[in-house]
Amino acid sequence: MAEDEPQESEMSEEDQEYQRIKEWQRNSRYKAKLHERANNELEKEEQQEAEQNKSSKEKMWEKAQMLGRGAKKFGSVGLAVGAGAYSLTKATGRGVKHVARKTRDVADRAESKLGGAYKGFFWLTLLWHIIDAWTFWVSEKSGWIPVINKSSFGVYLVIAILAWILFFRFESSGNINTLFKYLAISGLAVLLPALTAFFPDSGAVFMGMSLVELLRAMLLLVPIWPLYIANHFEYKAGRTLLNLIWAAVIIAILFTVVLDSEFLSESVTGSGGIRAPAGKVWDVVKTGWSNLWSTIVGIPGNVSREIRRATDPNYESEVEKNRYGELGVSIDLLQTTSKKYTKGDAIDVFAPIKGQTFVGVVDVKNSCYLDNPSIQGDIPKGYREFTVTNYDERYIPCSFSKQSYSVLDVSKKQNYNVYFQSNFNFETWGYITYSFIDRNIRNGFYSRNEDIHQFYGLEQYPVAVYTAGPVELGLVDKTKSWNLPYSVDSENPIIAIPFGITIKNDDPFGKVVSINELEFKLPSPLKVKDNSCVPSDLVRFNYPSAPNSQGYYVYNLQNIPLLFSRDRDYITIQCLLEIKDNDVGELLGTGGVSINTFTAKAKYTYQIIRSTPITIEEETI
Amino acid sequence: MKTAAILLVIIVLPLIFFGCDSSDPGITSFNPYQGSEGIGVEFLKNAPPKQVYQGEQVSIIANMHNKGAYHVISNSSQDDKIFFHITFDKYYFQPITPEKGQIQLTGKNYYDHLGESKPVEFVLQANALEGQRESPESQIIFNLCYPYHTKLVQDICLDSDPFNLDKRKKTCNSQTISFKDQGAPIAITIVEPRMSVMTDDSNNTYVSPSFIITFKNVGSGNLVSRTEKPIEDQCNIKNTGVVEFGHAKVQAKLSSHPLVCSPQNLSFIDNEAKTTCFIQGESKQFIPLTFVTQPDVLYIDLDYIYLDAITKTVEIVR
Repeated sequence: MAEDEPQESEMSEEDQEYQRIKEWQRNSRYKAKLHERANNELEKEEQQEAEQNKSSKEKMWEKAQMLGRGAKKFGSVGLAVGAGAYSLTKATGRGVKHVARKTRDVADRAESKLGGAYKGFFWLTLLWHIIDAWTFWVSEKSGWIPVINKSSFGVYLVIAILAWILFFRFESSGNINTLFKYLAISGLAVLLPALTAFFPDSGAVFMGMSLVELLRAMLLLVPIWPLYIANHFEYKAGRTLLNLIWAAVIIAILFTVVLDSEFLSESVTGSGGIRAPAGKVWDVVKTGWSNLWSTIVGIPGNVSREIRRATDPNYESEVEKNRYGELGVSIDLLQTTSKKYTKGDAIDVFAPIKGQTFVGVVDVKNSCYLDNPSIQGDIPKGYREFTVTNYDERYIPCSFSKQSYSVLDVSKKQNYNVYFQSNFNFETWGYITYSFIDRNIRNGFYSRNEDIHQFYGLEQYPVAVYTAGPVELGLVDKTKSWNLPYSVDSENPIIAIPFGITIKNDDPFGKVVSINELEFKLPSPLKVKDNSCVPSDLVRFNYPSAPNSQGYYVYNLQNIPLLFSRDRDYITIQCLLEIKDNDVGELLGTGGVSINTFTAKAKYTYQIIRSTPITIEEETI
Repeated sequence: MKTAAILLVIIVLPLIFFGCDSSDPGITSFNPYQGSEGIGVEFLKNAPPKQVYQGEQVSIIANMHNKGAYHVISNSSQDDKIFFHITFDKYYFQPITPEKGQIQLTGKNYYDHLGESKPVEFVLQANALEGQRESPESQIIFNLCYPYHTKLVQDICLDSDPFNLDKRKKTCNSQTISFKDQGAPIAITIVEPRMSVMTDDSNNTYVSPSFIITFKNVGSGNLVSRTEKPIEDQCNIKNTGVVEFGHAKVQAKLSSHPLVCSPQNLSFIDNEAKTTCFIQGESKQFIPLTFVTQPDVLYIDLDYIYLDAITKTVEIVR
């Protein structure tokens, strides 16, 4: 009984009845709860017992029923949601579809190419290739470079391992084979430049570069790792970049070779290793471009010269490639202390000159001028003239004091050229080898379809070589068909060999000042037919009656007039040959086959000029 | 006991198998008439070298080896020699020793299965380089000229019943025979026998055998017909007429009966030549038509002069 409830003695009978009912209700509710609880517990026990007694099938069915009810509930919910989504999708269907497709593509690419890691790898390896190439091939000017160069082995090893970590899961060759493959690629990147060191120094081969320099320049354009990444992972941007670089290089080479015939001469070559091949190519490209305008202007003259060459008799030869630097005198690119000067500054120019000869001495006389020959520069006494006995290499200084070029009006014109000029005497030799055979022997071979060249190991075409220098000495008429060995017969000893010599200027930056002497020698019993040489009106020939003590007929021509002009840069002399006293037996010897070399020598004075642009500005007050 | 027997077998059996040498070397057969070379020649290594310095003496050493069956020697019955000389450019070389020589070499035989070989040496001096030339190249040619014979002795069948009228089994069959080589640079490659039935004025029938013989130049050189001139004169090639080039003289006989070959002076075109050899003259009725085949021996001898050359290029440097 509650405390606040009044006592029973104080309550009326109605109140007492009310309290009793309440008590009863309370008790009943309590009992009902108890009963309910008991019923629940009993029910649970019954359920548990029933559960234990159920078969697996029944259990599964009940679960299915439960799932079904759940699915039904979910389905009804889903239906409601789907209806909403459908209407939403319908409204924005196309956009979602599009986004979904894009997302799928990106996801595919991300899955197959690791989300663009190959791109970063391409640029990383390309950057390292450039650094490695620059440090590997640059000259000893940079003292810290070798440190980086030596570490290239380690860097390529790291690149291989990194590539394996990033891409091995996308390779079909397996983990270990993939690693070996990447190590091999890195090995190739390291070994290829190193292998060029084993090639011999061949002298100038192409564009003034030696064989080693040419190979290294080519390797510069073949980055191994970026090439592999661009092709293997189909990296379009990478491929495009590499293709553009190669196309640009090829066009630059073609353009420079065609327009800048400096490459065809030996005057810009140097011994291997002094200049980086990339740097040399760039210098030559610049020179080639700078000559473009003068070449375009000179096209009409060039065309008429080529026409004349095609119609006039013209003899050619191959130039002998020297092993240790080219013969002759050459001036390399001029160097200045600055490209811009202020009027009043002293202008200093340096000309690297190299000279080499195997015969006699070469006297070199140097001079320099600014803009026109009236403004002469000053060359120190010991450098104005010097003599090359075998090989010499010098830097010739040339300076212009402010007084010497004070006449120049820099207020009107600021761009000028400094010219360096060298005059020197030189001689170029030409050699041509003919083989002769008895006519009966030759006919015997031909009648039986036998290859006489294979049997005797003889060349079908005459081998003609001229030594390097600013002048070409041609000895073979290449417009004629040749089939050596030349057959001779004692009954009909006519030598119909078109013997001739063409002296041709081989350096567009130079000119032949004078041809001092031309000499050619023929082995006895071969000789020039008397009074058969042309042009007889311009050249006085002497015809010796007997060979010299070495058994050669020597023909010597002096003071040959220069026929060089704008339209003609060569002179040709032709002669007919004969066998003295028809002595075929002496010519052929015992075996009926002989090999004979004819020689020609041209002594001349040559002039080469090189220039470099400078700017002279007005003095600022 | 059982163990002892097994051990005995294990020890004795290997002795029986390996202790007895069943091969009996005895006299091995050797046939010198094999091979396609006559006189082989090659430069010794570095003789001449690939590169010589100006003014330096150069030794040209060629090893000549008679790899064929014919002996190129001089004796009572023959006077054969091998002639050789070198050809070079006098602008680059001058001779120190004579430029030509001669040698004799025996071929393969029972006592020398390989044939005799000897080296010959020439010495040249490289001239000083004239002018601005740095490193010219020049060729040196070693020329060879020697007489040789190709001989073939072959059993053949003379078929006196070419139409197979007699049904009895023949003792031999007349058929075309092929050969590879006979130890000489010219090889007899095919012998094709033909039996023709002829009737003379007296109505006697006989079989006239003929042989179509094919020859082939299987060596590396060329041939010249041998004439009555001495070998030395013939090997002075500039005196050789064009008609003699690519020609060889053939002789053939059947046992003791000489055959007439037409043409006798063979002409080789594209390294091949053919001739037909047959009986003529008193031996015309050599094989009566008896329908009985009989074996015989065919002898073929080809006589010629063979030319060969080897070349080497030498670089002269300063």
